[in-house]
Order: sequence, then structure tokens, then C-alpha cells
Amino acid sequence: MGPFALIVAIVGSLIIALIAAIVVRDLWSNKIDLSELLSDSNKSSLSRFQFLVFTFTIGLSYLLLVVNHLANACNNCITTAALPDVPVGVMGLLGISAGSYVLGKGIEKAAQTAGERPPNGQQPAHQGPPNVA
Amino acid sequence: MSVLATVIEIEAWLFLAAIGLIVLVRFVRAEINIGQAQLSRMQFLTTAIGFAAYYLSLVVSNPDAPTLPEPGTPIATAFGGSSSVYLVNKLVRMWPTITNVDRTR
Repeated sequence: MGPFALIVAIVGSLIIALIAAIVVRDLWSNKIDLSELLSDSNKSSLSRFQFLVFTFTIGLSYLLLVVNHLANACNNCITTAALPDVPVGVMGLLGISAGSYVLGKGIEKAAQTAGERPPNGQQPAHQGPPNVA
Repeated sequence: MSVLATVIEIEAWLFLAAIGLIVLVRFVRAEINIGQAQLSRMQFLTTAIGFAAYYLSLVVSNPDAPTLPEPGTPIATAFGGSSSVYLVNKLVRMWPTITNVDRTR
């Protein structure tokens, strides 16, 4: 591995490690609230939580693969350096993970918006000034 | 395997283990509200952490592979099914609110 590639790899892994450490610290100190993770509450989001876990796992796996590629590559052959392919199955897993996050948020938002409307068949409450005439 | 690759591998395992441990500790201390807990959420949570750990073990077991390993159709189907069950359950529970039905009448 060339010195520049090594520095980039170290910086990349340090950035991800820092983000992961902040997430774990906030989870531990309850700054990220997990108390309603298993119930329908807006305080905690299970879909966001699983998206976080999958994104970190796939991201770190990819970084690991890139570092191994660089370590195995011939130091003098610059042209062989290329990012490894991501298979369709991995894209599918990430798509399912992201899709369930987006759909979950969509359902929550729809329920929240509908909750602000008056029930079906009822007139909306009078918003104007009282009729004094 | 280079030292850096080993560090990243440890970093990934530590992150997953810390996340799993924090959830477990909160669960044991009853700091996660299980009064209204739903089975669909429970299975989705365990499936997500379990599949992430499984996938990481696939990557670590073959570090010199040219691409990321294929998770396989059964894994993708199982995870898709798990998230579908979670989403359908959520939709069913929130359907009366979304359709804005006055259930008091």
C-alpha cells in the first residue's frame, strides 16, 4: 500500500470510528432515547435504528475490503487500484433497510397529519372571531 | 491482512457488540418500555442486529474476496419478510388514525 493510500485509509477509518463512538456514547448516555423502541411512539424509531446498524455494517465491511485490496495490490502498479464492486444482493439488503425506514416514516407522517384533522363527517371547528351580530 | 484491516474489523465488531449490549442492558433493566411492546417490532430488531452480525462474519471470513460477499436469496427474503411484517403491522395499527375514523360514534 502506498503512503497516500495508507493515510487516506487511516483517516477514513478514524472518521467512521469517531462517528460510531459518538453514536454508542449517545446511546449509552440516553441522549438517543431507546425507551420506546418496541412501541408505537415518536420518541424512538426502530426503522431508523436498524438503518443505522445496517449502514455502519455495510460501510465498515466495504472499507475493510478496500483496505485489503490496497494491501494486496502491487505497490508499483497504480493502474490496478479500483473500488471493489458491490453485489446486487447487498444493494437489495440496503434497499430493504432504507425502504422500511422511508415507508415507516411515511406511515407515521400520514397518521400524524390525519390526527390533526377533525374526524370524518364532522365540521371543522370555527376558527374565526365570534359572531356578535 | 494488514494491521489497519484488523483495526477496522475490530472496530466493526465493537460497534455491533456495543449496540447489541446497550439494547440488552436497557431491556434487562426494563428501561425499554415493554408494556406496549409488539412482537413485530421485537422480531425486526433481533433480525436486523442478527443479520448485520451474520453479514459482518461473512466479510471477515473471506477478507481477500474481490467483492463484498453475496448475502444470498434466503437471507434477503428473510430480512424482506421481517421488515414487511413490521411495516404491515405498523400500517394496520395506524390505519384508523390515517383514515381519520371517529371510533367514539
